Amino acid sequence: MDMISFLPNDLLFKILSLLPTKDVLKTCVLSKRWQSVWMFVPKLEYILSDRNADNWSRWRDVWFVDKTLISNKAHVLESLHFKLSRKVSESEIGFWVKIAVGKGLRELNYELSCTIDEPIRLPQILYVCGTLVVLKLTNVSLTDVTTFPVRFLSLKTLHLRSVIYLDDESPRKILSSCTVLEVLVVNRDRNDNVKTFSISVPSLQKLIYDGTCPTQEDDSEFVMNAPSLKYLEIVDHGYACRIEKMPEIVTANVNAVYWNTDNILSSLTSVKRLSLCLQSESLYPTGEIFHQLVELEFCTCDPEWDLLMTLLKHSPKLRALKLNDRRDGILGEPLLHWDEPSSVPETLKFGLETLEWRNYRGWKIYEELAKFILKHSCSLKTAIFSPVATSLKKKHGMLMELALMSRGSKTCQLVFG
Amino acid sequence: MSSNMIMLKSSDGASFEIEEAAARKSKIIANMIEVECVDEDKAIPLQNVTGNILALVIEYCNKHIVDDDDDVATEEASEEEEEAKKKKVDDWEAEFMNSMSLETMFELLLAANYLNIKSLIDLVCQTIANNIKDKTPEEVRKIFSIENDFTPEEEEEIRKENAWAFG
Repeated sequence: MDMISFLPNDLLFKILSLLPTKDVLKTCVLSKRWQSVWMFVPKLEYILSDRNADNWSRWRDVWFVDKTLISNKAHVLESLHFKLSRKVSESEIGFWVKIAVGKGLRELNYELSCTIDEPIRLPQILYVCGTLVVLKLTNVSLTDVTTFPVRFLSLKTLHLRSVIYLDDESPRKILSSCTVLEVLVVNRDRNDNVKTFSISVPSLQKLIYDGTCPTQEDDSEFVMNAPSLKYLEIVDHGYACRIEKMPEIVTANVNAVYWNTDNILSSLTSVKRLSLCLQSESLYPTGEIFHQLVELEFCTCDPEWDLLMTLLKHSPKLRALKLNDRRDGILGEPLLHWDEPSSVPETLKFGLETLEWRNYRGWKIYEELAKFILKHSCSLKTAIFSPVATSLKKKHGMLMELALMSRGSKTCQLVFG
Repeated sequence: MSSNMIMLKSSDGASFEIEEAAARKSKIIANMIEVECVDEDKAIPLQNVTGNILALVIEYCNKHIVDDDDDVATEEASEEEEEAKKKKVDDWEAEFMNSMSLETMFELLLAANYLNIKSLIDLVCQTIANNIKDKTPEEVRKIFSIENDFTPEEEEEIRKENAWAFG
C-alpha cells in the first residue's frame, strides 16, 4: 500500500527537508498528490559541484535555483544551504540571498569549498537580516563589512571559516553586532588580513577557534572577552594572547603557543575539565588556583612535568588525570631527566582516583613520572596504561617495569590497555 | 509496581510497563504526567497506536532514556566520550530501523508524531529520506508503491517544465 502519499503534509515536508532540493523537485512527477508538495518544503539545499560545467549546464543550474527559490511557498524559509565547489557570481548569489531574506530566512549556510576561486561578497541585506538565527560562512569575503550597517538581532550561531577581512576592524564589527550570539566557530584563513583577532561577545557560551593557518607576525595577538563562556576549544600558534576571566567556564581544550600562556591559564581557573597541550617553558599563572578542576588531560608531547606538578598542586578537587601524546611522538625521545619535586602535591596524595596514560612510550622521563605518581597517589583506584604499538617484546618490557613499580594505594588496579 | 513505572495501553488492548523517565520522551505522555492525569494504577490509553508499534516505541525510548538533556551533555562530557557514545547510539538506531519493513516504518512515524517524540520522528524521517535520495521517480514509485495517476501527456508536460531536475 502507498503509505507515504497518505502522510500528513507536515511529515512529508519534514522528510523532504532532509534531501537536496534536486531530489525534492523530482518528486513533482510521482503522482498528482506530489505535484506541488516540493514548493512547501522549508529547507533548500543546492549542490553545485561540476567545475567543468559548460555554459549550458551553468545556465540550467541558475534557472533551477531561481525557480525553486522563487516558487517556494513555505510559511517560513527555515534554511538555505549552498554547497559549491564551483564559483557562482556575486550577482547570482546576491539575488538568491535577497529572495531568501525576504522569505524570513532562519539559517544560511554558504560553503564554497574550492580554494582556487577568490571568495566573493554576499549582499548587504544579509547583514541586517533580523530573522537569521544561524549563519555559516565558508570562503567568503567580508572586506567591505565596515562600509555598511550590520545588525544581527536574532543570531545565535555563527561560523566564520576561511573568511577574508579588510583589517582587524572587520571581524570586530561583525561580532559586536551579534547581541545574542551563543556559539561561534572561527577557522582563520592564511591571508585574512587580521593581526589582532578580537572576540568580545558578552552572550557567547561556546567558542571553537582555530588560528593556526595565518602566517603569524611578531605582533599577532588573540584577544578575548567572553564572560559567559562555558565551552572553549582553541588551537593557536600566535605571539601573544590577552584573555579576560571566564567565571562560567566548564570545559576547555587548549592547544596553544603564546609567549604568555599564563594569561590563558589564569582566565580558565573556574574550569571543571581541562585539556592542555602547551609549548615548553609555559608559565603557570602565579597565585591562581583551579578550584573546580576535576579532570585534567595533559599532553606529553613536550614532557613539562614541572608545569604538571604546579597544576596538580593548585587543583584541590582533581580526581582524574589523563596523559596523552597528541603529536604522536614526532619530537622524539627527549634526553631529559626529571628531578622529583621536594614536596608531593596534596591532590596526588589524597585526591587523585584515576590515571589514564595513552601512547605510553616507556621513555626514561615517562617512567620517572609514572613511578612518582604511582608511589604517591594513596587514593588511586585505577591506573590505565596504553603503550604505543611497538614490538611485542618492547611492550612486554614496558608493562613489566610498570607492574614492578611500588604503589602508594593498596587498592589500586593496574590496567594495561 | 514501583512509583516510577507507568502503564501504557495500546489501541488493541495490550498493556506495557515502562519507566516514567523513558515515557517522558513523549511530550504528550510527559504533559499527562505533569497535569496529573495519570492514576498510579491505571494504564494510559493510547488510541492511535497498536501493540506491535507501541512495543517498538518503547524499545526506542528505553534505549534513549539517558540522553534526555542532550544540550547539557555536550558541554559536560569530553569530545571523545561524546563521539563514542554517539557512535554506539547511531549503530543501534541503524540496526533498529533496518529490522523493520517500510510499512512498519510509516506506522512508527505516525505513532511518534501522535506521541510527539521528536528524536524518533527525526530518525524515521531520515531513514525514509535515504530511500528517496539519488533515485529516479520510477525507482521512488516502486519503493513506496506510489501509483502514477498522471496521463502520459500530463507527465511529459511536468517533466518538460522541470527539465533541469530530470536532466
